[in-house]
Amino acid sequence: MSLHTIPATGMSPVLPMSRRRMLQLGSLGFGSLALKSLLAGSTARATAAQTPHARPRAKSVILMMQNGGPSQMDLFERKPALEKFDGKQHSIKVEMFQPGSEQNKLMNTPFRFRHYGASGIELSEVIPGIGSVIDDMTVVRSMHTGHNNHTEALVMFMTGKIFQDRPALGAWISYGLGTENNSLPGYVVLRDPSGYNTSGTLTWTNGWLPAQHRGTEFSSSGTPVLNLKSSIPVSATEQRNNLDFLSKLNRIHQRRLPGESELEARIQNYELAARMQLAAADVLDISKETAATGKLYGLDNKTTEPYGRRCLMARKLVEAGVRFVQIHPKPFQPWDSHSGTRQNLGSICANCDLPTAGLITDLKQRGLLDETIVIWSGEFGRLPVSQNGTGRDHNRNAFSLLVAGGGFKAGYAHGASDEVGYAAAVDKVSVADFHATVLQQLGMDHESLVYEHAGREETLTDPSLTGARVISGLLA
Amino acid sequence: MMVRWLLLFFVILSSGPSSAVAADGPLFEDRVYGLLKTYCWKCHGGEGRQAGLDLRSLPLIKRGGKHGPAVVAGSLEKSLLVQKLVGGQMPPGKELKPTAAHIETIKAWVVGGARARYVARDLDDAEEPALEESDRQWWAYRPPVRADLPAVAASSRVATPVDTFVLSRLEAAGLDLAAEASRTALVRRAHLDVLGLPPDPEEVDRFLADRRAGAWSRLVDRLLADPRYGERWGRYWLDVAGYVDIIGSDNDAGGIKLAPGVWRYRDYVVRSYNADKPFDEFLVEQVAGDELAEWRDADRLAPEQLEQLVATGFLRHARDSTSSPELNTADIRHQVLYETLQTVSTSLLGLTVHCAQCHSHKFDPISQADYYRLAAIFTPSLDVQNWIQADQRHLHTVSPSHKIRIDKHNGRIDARVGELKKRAAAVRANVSKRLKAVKLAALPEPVRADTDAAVGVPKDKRNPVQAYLALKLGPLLVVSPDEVNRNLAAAERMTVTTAESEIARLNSTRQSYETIRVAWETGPPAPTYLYRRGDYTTPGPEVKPGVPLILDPPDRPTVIPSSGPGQKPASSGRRLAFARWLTRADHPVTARVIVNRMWMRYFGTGLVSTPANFGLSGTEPTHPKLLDWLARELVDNGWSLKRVHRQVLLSSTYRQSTSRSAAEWNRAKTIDPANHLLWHRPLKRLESEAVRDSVLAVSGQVDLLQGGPAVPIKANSDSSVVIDSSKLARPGDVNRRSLYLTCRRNYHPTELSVFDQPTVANNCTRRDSSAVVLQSLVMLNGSFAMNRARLFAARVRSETPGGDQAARIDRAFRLSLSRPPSEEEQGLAIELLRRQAVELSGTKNTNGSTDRPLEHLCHMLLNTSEFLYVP
Repeated sequence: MSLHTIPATGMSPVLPMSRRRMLQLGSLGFGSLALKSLLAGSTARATAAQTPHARPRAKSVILMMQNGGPSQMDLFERKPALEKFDGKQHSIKVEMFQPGSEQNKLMNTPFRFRHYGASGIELSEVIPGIGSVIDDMTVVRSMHTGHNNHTEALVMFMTGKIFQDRPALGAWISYGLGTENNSLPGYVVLRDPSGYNTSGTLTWTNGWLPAQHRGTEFSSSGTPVLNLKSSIPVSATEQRNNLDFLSKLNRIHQRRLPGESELEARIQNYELAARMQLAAADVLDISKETAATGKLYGLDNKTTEPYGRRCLMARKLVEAGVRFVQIHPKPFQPWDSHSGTRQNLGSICANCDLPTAGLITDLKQRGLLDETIVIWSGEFGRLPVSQNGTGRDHNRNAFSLLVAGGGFKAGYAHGASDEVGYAAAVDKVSVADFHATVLQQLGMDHESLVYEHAGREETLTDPSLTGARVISGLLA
Repeated sequence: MMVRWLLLFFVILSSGPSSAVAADGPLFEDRVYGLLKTYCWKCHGGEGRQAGLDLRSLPLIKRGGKHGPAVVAGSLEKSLLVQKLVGGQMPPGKELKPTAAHIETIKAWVVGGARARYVARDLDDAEEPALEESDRQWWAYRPPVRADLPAVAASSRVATPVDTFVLSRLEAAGLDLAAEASRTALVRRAHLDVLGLPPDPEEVDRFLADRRAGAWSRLVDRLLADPRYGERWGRYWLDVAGYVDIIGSDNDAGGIKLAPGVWRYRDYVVRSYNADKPFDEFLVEQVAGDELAEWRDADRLAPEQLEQLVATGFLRHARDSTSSPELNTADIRHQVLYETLQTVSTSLLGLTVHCAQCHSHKFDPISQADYYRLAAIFTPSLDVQNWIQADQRHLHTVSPSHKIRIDKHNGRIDARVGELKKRAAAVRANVSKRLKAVKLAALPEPVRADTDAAVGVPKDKRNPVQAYLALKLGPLLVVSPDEVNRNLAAAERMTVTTAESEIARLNSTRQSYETIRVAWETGPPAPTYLYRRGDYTTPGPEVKPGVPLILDPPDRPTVIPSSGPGQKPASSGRRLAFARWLTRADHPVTARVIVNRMWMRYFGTGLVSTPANFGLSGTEPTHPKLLDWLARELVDNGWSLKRVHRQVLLSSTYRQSTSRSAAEWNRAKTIDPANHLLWHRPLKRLESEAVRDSVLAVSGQVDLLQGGPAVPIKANSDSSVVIDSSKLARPGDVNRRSLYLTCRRNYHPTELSVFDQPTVANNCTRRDSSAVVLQSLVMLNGSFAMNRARLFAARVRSETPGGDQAARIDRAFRLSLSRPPSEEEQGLAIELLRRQAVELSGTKNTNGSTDRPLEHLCHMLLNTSEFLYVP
């Protein structure tokens, strides 16, 4: 049992005195809660909010997790200085991670940049699909994060800190808002069926939040959910016979223990398991989609089909009421380009660019984009100096991300990094700031979505340490 | 104290960075810090302390290293730092040098007086607020006292003193204990709680047949003497220790980096529990086993020395990714230290000391200085600036000098074996050459030389003619080892067999040793600094090792040795002194933390419901006197856990029923809705391991082999995690108890992870128990449950020879639920078997089964709620 289940008010005469109770009683009445509300100006403190704190703009999130570290200066932010000083030693010694950048020499992008859409935002030639929907998106060019290693940075992007054990963004949102579909989990992960990405399950962990908020993996090929089908074939009638028997036995057991609600949940779960079999199969059945929709996601093309299928599944899942869908491109770390920037980025963009645009377009034409936040991001950016001649090493000091829908601005570029793209410089946005802003759009105050763990009232953003704040400049 | 801290907090907020800014000269923090960090810290402050020099703060720079102060304010000539930079000696070698402008900045700083915002000072009030008498009044900071047993009305229910404490609170609230549970429920309950496995029907019968007085006590004794007890309760301790079999953060599903030899620590824990090793001794060994006896110069390790070294594996479970060079950095190394401290403080002290890393504790009188004093106890064995990478940080099952002897001994064997092999090979080569010449002679003369040449050319370098010859005629020239053997001449045969038997003899005299994971000090202790704002890049005042002041009697302060430079004992003895303090008979928290956790395992919730937090932000005990009584019972009786187990297991409180009549239930619920007072036995779901182990036991498959290396597991691409049957040391390993499966941080076997097997980020002080749909899916459809159900059905058939359907149903219930079916259940089971038989009649698809309907019945019994909960 976790502490959050203890009601904040109302106490039975035999309950031990909780800290909350002590604070309310006044002898030590100037404790953490009062202190926090004085300093932060927050008044209400929800514990397990199933209803939003404020009127939400969005009700679900699709996170396209582009792990590996997409290169900001090759994709999202044109740097004329790199063109000018290509091959020259940079005046600041950059923070290297892996060997290969010792010479500290600036490297220009191998790609040309173009103005896209009515907004005229400049993006790389290698992402024409994203360019075609940039008028519906915001590009944030001033992100920064906390670590240069994939795992730590991924964990930070997902959980707010570089250290493992904290819940992922999707888990917080599932915890805060619950699910709108009782036959599907609130937090679904769609990864490449051929393998895990770097740091795998760490990026959809529930941390110390209750287990139902952990991301559930749905497979985009074969059976959608592990163990949804019998591993030894049984007929529908056999299964029905079994479940009827089981339910009766469990009811007999429950009669002896009428006060134990967990037993009821367990009985219901067997029914839910049966429902889920149908619901999941239905949501993931893309055969009923029109050819035009398929084309939009690139299902007619071998290069784009695998990722496109997951993008389409994501749309169907949010349509069905799933709160948070996380999509991963290829296994391992597809954006990690330590050499051969042109070939590597060219190849992964060919897989992912068109389906990304397809998802935005499809959501928009179905009227879902307003209520769905779509995030496209890696865990960090890359260095302006060359590594091994044609690559770039990891860079926590600056990266770019894309965000669309859910009340975020459309056709807008936010902030900038320095002249060469080494560090975020103008209108900087931290990972915690971004999380706070996403939560707000879902109707949750990032300081009020709390969970008590190990003697501390934890939040996703931990504002007293990170200084997290909502970035209103990102919002329409 | 809390209010005072609060005021301090405001003071900190209002004293902005400008308050210390002086008129002239740049400040260290503004320009210089960043430059030194970039160009110098790798060796002087971050990952290293070369020449004793640490450049992280002005006081440390002024203190300097073995060549004297690094900076003398105002003097470029006397400032070694400037001289080395200007002269280009530093940074050394190919490291990128600072630009001229950077050096000018540093020079300007020195000339301007080497000013800094942080200058040398003692601990301030925020870092070390004074303790007040009122702080010591909190229950957990006062030693436990054995209270008189309270008088109770229901004296007939008092079986052990535990009951008096529970009954007295119940009676005060107008409540009572539930009736005693049925004997069938009790025997199952005790087996599951003490051993983590259900009883066999015969064990149930044996208990039910024992109608003499003291049957329950005899059962309890039998269970506590059973070696499976150590596996069950040892696993709980491994939770607290944060036990894992792997090195590093274990972030990738496919990459399992096993830490060799960790399993010896797991086996040490199980052995200690089974032997009922006094718990104080158990703790001392784990915290400071390496300091108990001098092993560094030992000729050989005595068995107890090896045991004590292995015990310190307790301190080696923090995530340590420093094996990979990019992560062998100061921040990651510090995190290893911090996580080790967190494990120590939550598992042993039951306090959230880790909250004081960045600031004095917000609720508890634990200062930031306390945190770093505690850190100073452990830093000599985790010296961030003198680090051993995770995969190198180990010792061996033999003493260092013994290892050298063994290596030499084996080296001599290697050399001798090498010679003998060479000798035998030369003989064989000669014979081979002879045979090949004969074969070559058999080829037609015109192609003889060309073929010989062709096979001599590497395959990818042959020209087309050579390739053809080698393909067609090459095989005719091949001499097999067998042919060589058959054609050895007598003298040759003699040489070869002599050599081979000598090799075998030599190999049999090889000696070996294995790796063990140990915490030990690798050099003289470095100074420990309080880190301002918890940041290692801003070291503050130096602190000496010490224990949290609030837990130490003010009149008899504990002294932790802090050997300074010049003294060079093999180990500082800091951890040993800490361990002795921890296990003092009057220690306020240690024994309470232990007995509280035991109570939690039996009743689902501890007497203190926050087992890792006894401080002001935790909850207060529901039964403070009981907690203290149990703590004293432990300490005053030689720290025997089994004695405390008996006190609990023999109590009426433990033996009461989980259920009550609806009327009683409803009345009690209004008075004590959360059952804090224990008016019924709380319903408790089996932990992940007990679920899997029970399925194995019921199917008759469980393999009770104890100890040894972990059973390998693997992550499949469909996101399931299973035992890797291709790598098993023995086939039965697939049925070993869950304790012995490879323990990873993030990827547990599916049937364990869905039942809340904890993710091991740090340690686990309390298991979650959820009821999520994935559990139903795993038990209903997963191959583990379905295949075991099948074996369970086969067992039922084999154990009811000649029996009818009723006998089989009866056996299935007894095996899985430890009781016969009721008449109603019997009827339902018959109906299920009938319906499934109808459904399956005529189907050819029996999936290789002889009795599908019975398999369905057995499978569903494993899915019942009753199977999952302790009765």
